[in-house]
Amino acid sequence: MRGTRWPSLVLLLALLAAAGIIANRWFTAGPRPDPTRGFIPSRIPGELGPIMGEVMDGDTPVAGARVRFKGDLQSVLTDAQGRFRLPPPPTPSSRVTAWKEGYLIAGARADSVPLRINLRRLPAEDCERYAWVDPTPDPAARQNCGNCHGEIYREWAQSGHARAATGRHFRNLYDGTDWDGRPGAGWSLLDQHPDGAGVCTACHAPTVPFDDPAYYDLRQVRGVAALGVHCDYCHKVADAGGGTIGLTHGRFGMKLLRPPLTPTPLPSERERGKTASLLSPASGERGRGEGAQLFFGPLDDVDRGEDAYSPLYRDSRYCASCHEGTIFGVHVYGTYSEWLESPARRAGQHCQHCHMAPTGRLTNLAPGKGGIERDPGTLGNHLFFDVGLREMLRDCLQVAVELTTVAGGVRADVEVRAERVGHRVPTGFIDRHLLLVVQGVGPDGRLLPARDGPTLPEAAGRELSGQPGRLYAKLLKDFEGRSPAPFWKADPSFVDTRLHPAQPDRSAFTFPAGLDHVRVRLIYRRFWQEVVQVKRWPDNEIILLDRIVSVRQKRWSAALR
Amino acid sequence: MNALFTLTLALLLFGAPPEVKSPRQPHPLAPSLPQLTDEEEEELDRIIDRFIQADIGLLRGTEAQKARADFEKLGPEATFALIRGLNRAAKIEHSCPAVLIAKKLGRILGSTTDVELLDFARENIGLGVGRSRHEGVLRELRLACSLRRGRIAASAGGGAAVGPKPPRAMTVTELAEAAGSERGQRLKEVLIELEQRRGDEVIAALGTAAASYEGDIRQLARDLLTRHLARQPAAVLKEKLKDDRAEVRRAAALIIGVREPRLAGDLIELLADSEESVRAAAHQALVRLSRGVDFGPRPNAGTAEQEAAIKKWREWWARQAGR
Repeated sequence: MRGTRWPSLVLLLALLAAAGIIANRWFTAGPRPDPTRGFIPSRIPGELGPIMGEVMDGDTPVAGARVRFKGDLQSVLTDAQGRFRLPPPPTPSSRVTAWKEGYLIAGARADSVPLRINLRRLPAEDCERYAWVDPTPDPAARQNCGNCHGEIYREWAQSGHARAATGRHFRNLYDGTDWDGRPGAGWSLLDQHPDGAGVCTACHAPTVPFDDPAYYDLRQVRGVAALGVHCDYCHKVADAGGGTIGLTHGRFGMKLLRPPLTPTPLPSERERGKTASLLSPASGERGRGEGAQLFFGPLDDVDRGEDAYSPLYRDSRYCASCHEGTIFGVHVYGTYSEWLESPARRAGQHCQHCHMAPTGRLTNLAPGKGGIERDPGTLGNHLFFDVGLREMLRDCLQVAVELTTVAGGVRADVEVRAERVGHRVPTGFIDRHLLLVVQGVGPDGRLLPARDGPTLPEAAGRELSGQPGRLYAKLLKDFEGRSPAPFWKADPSFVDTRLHPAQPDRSAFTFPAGLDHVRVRLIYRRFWQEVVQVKRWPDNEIILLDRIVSVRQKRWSAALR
Repeated sequence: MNALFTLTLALLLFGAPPEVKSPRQPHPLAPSLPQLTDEEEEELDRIIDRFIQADIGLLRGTEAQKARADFEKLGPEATFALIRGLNRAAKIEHSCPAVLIAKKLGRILGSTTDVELLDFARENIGLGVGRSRHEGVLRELRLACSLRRGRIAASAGGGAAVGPKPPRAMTVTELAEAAGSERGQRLKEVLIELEQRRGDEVIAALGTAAASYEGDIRQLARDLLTRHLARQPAAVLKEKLKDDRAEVRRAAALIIGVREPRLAGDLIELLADSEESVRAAAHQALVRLSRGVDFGPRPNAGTAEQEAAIKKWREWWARQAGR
């Protein structure tokens, strides 16, 4: 009995040893250059099974790298030896991608043998001499973003980000012109606070060079910088920078990482301890080789060799350096701090959740240009107001009206609520405001003045001033008490009556007996009427609600969407 | 002038015109400015600090209004305090006061003819700030000081009423000549402007500059040459592999290595180039185009090894041609 066991045991040990040697070679030996292989990738024939591989930085295993099949939602992390195991690939030609913080995304075909993914480190320093890439589609300039990302470009081109430096409202306030470009039309930052003009540039035209005269006078902005908050700028943000959100503005609050003029050495040079200068991406002529470009984004499986993942792209902090700002002492932009205090934040929702919500229309980021089909639910929109400003406002507002007969009249209780929103309403630029107008009307159609209840201030404009209603706004005054005032001339103290998310605003108005109905309106305005008239802006007002509620009906309530 | 400064200061600091007993001494570091007492400098620091507080929203009402108004009244006599204030604002990364103080300082320094003041400003703007997100603002202000100083010096030396022609106003030929005669910051500006122009003259001048200078100028010229050549079509790159200037051949080889696989065969000849830097660039480009395949030669290889490597590369290239 004992004599028959020994040969089996020896055979088993030999098999284990052989397996160990094979496994050791698998996981420790690097791919050997095959001079005859040239451009042909290696592949294995046969059935598809679970696949194993490793992620390396040169000869060093990379632990904790995230690995997935490109376009797949499931991912795994590499172990301490840089190894990973994935289920059978969807197709033999599937790509496996890997990324870890501090590295570019890399990938390999799933049928590569051995399946080894080499990660390349990000450059250590931002290259300030980098020349920004134009987003505009242009067959003569093959690197332009819109050539491959047509749908995203079209969305962005309609957005406020594309007009940040040249939009007419902005320019009219900046240089004191009106809608038709006539000078001397009211509020003017350049006339009233010329030294302050440079402050706008960090957010409105963040790629203007510091030595460009346009930095302190955006009327002179030219070229790619005039395209405002453009693709290449946004996708060069590696992380939120230092400083203080709200006080460190725009580009100063971002950690940019632009590819170097003299990129990292090739592996063969690294071995020899030498460095060499390669193609400058600043040429505006993006090369196909490694290191020629560098983009950050919210996907960790874009393995073109020039992309890196950053979780910041799904985080409100990404938006904060421009959408939170105290300027000349006045808290002009507060959307980020409003979000910090909102129920949306407590529910884990960020700005991108609503403002870059997938449209469902986009399935391929670069169709016909190397992009793959992806789950449309994972691809955000670049319009930022996909369904339009009016619909986004209506989507978050609710109004309820209740009419009650009281001694000698009718009381109208009106409740306005902002729901499903991650900031106060309205938000953004400080002069935006919302007007609730509640007018009592008799059987003959004449307006009946309210006996009591809040009324609209002068800032609501001549037509509505004194009418029953509520103003939801940050209403600035200057140091002499005049209101409204431009923020560059304003006292930092102001009253903020805007709606809080999930908090109802209730007001009561009493109308005389004989009331037939009330007309309830909710009006959004971008600017104060007196400014609008001087500037001749044609698009100031959005009617969100215009509703008749009869005394016989007594109660009406609805979400506006 | 000094009496005027004294009056302005007194009005600013104490609110009433004082009796001007004697003219101020010129400042030892900047003769165009009056020397202030320590107390006066401290008061200027306080005004600027109050302005910073107002600008970041810490002051309200009349306090904020006064802080802004006091700051706006500051003139050239506050230059030293403004530099200190700018450094403080940049250090705490507060964009609004940093940009506003920089703008004010820029205006003051842009109109002075006091070269010692410009030297002081250039050396002290950003001093002690360390790494700052606002380094770009500080750097451009320092550069403006250098340019202003250069213009004043040139004007004084040549007796001309105006400074040298700005690079943007120069022709390509003028720029090419200036690339061989200018020095320091002016030379950098000339090279940067040159790179944005077109024509063979540009490539020749940048190539010469890359070969003629050392240190950061050499690196800048190389970068600009690479950038310029990268905008050229494949036919030009192919032609530039045979340029007389080694720097041009080297740059063309590097660009082909990342962009033009069809020209890989043309690189092989350069493995026997007379210049080591060109041979290295051609080798690097070939390794890149072959995705890591390396037939050599090693740096400083002998003729035999060089020839062997060239033979292998040619064989490799012949195989690629069949694909």
